[in-house]
Amino acid sequence: MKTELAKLPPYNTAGHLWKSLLFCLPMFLILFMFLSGGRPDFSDIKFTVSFLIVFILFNYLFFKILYTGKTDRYRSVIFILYAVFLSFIFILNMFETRDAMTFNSADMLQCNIPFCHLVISMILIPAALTNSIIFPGNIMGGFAPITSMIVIWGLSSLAIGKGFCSWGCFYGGWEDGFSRIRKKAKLKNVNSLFRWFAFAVLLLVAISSAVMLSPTYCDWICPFKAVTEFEQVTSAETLIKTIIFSSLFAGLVVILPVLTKKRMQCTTLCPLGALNSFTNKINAFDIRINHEQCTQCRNCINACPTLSLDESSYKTGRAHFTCCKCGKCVDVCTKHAINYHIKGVPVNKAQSATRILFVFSAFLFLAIFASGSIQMGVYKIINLITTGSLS
Amino acid sequence: MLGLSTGTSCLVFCGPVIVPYILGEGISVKQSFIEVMVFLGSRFLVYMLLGLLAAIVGQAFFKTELYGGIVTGSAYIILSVTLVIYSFLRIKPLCMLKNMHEIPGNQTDRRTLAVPLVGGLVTGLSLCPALLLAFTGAAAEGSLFRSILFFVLFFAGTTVYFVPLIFLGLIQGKNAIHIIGKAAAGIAGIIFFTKGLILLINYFSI
Repeated sequence: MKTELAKLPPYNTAGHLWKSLLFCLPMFLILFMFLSGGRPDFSDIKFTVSFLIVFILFNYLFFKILYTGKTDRYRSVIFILYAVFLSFIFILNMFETRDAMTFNSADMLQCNIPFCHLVISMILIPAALTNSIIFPGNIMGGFAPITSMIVIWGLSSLAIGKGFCSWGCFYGGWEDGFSRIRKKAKLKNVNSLFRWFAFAVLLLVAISSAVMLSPTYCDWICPFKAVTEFEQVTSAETLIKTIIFSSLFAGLVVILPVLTKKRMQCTTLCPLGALNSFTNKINAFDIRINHEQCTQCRNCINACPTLSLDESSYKTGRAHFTCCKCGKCVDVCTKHAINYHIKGVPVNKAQSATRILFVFSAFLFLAIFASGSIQMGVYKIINLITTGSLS
Repeated sequence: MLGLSTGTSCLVFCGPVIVPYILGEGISVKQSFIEVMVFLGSRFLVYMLLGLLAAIVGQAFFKTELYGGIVTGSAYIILSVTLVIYSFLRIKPLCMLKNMHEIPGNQTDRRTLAVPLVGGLVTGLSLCPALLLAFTGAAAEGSLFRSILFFVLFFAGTTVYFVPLIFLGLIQGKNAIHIIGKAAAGIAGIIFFTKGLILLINYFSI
């Protein structure tokens, strides 16, 4: 084993221009294919401009990830843009189809509610027990169908585990963005035990959804209804629901991330985040600490946005299974003691190769998942500038 | 049949009360058996009283309207406060339990059984659709014996869904599970409080 690892070529691309460019080539080709749909048609100037902006941005950021050796710094740019543009496109779509951000009972009866990945944590048990999906959305076809979202989530879970939460979730970017506003945290030393709260939410919503055959989290709690769609206020019940999700959005997505520099909603409330933690168990990648290089400076603990690193991590040499592999801890470690790692490989071996393998898989997933929304958003903005209309 | 067919919906009302409690306490199978029995016992007591009430209502005031909104809403609010207090008492044992341990007679032990006792009483009083159906059915029976028997069978049918809760004690021992249980109790409390609030608002706005 040692001999085989020693024979591996030097994968360290940081500071190596030509090597970084060479590693960018596969991403360049795959992105070109996905963004152009395989058959590029550049007759529409607005499409061409939006295509070029997104294509260059994505390739530039991937190059920077390889060339600088920093992961989170450049990942977060796309991640945040993705969240903002997806909400922009989504709300625009709602206004085009319904003239409002709200939906009513008729939309639910006609199964016109777009499906989001958070619902997956609520539909699994009822689907197994009753062979039915407890969500008023399209199984296939239409806007955001159920099947495609489940397939994407399943494949990403296999490839990057809970990395989905930092490389694919189109809500996470909101908190990620707000958590970066302040240079230093106003509220420090957040108790890492708060990470278990999301599991309590998962427990409750899984039981209640299975028994009531209704996605209770979406119905009552989900704070991201504030940036997508929500039920029309027609009664005291819907009014209270609106107050709940608005308060949760303001508190857990905006205020607390700004004050703590942590992704508090992802950590304490998201049921899919809790479920995704278990996918880390079946995924090959994790984050490990090299005891020989670690000085226990706490930089990684302070940086971790999901409270997945604490004092116990120094003893075990690994992040907790709630880690979403954003790479922030890897970026801040001046001793290079914490790294991406492939299970079964010795901790201090093949670190650069492991990082490139993970970053390539994760970035490719993010690029494929996010590029369409960002490109469409850019297209709409160009349209607004040139014609004065978004549509 | 009514109990068996509607038992799952009863579990939604009562499950969130007892599941987080058992998970949060860090107790053995034997202890959780006692906890569940206390919970079910107090619930049974309420059902017997409801059976008695149903008989009286059936014989004398069957057509009188029940103020379900205010009763259920109040029950939810009382229950939610119980849950939230329980949750926060246990999450911060250093400040709250420390003082309680100083009281002669170790009142924390008494409080441990009081929670499932109160939980059973209050959830038994929560007029969920299934219980209202049972009440209507029992009242329609027309005699004291038949009304109480109706509630005994209704209790038996719904209790089937609570039996697996006893074995939750088997997965004790991990700090994380305790925290999840406590947090779930707090969240369930907030949910019940909200539901109670909505019911009361609806009741008073009519």
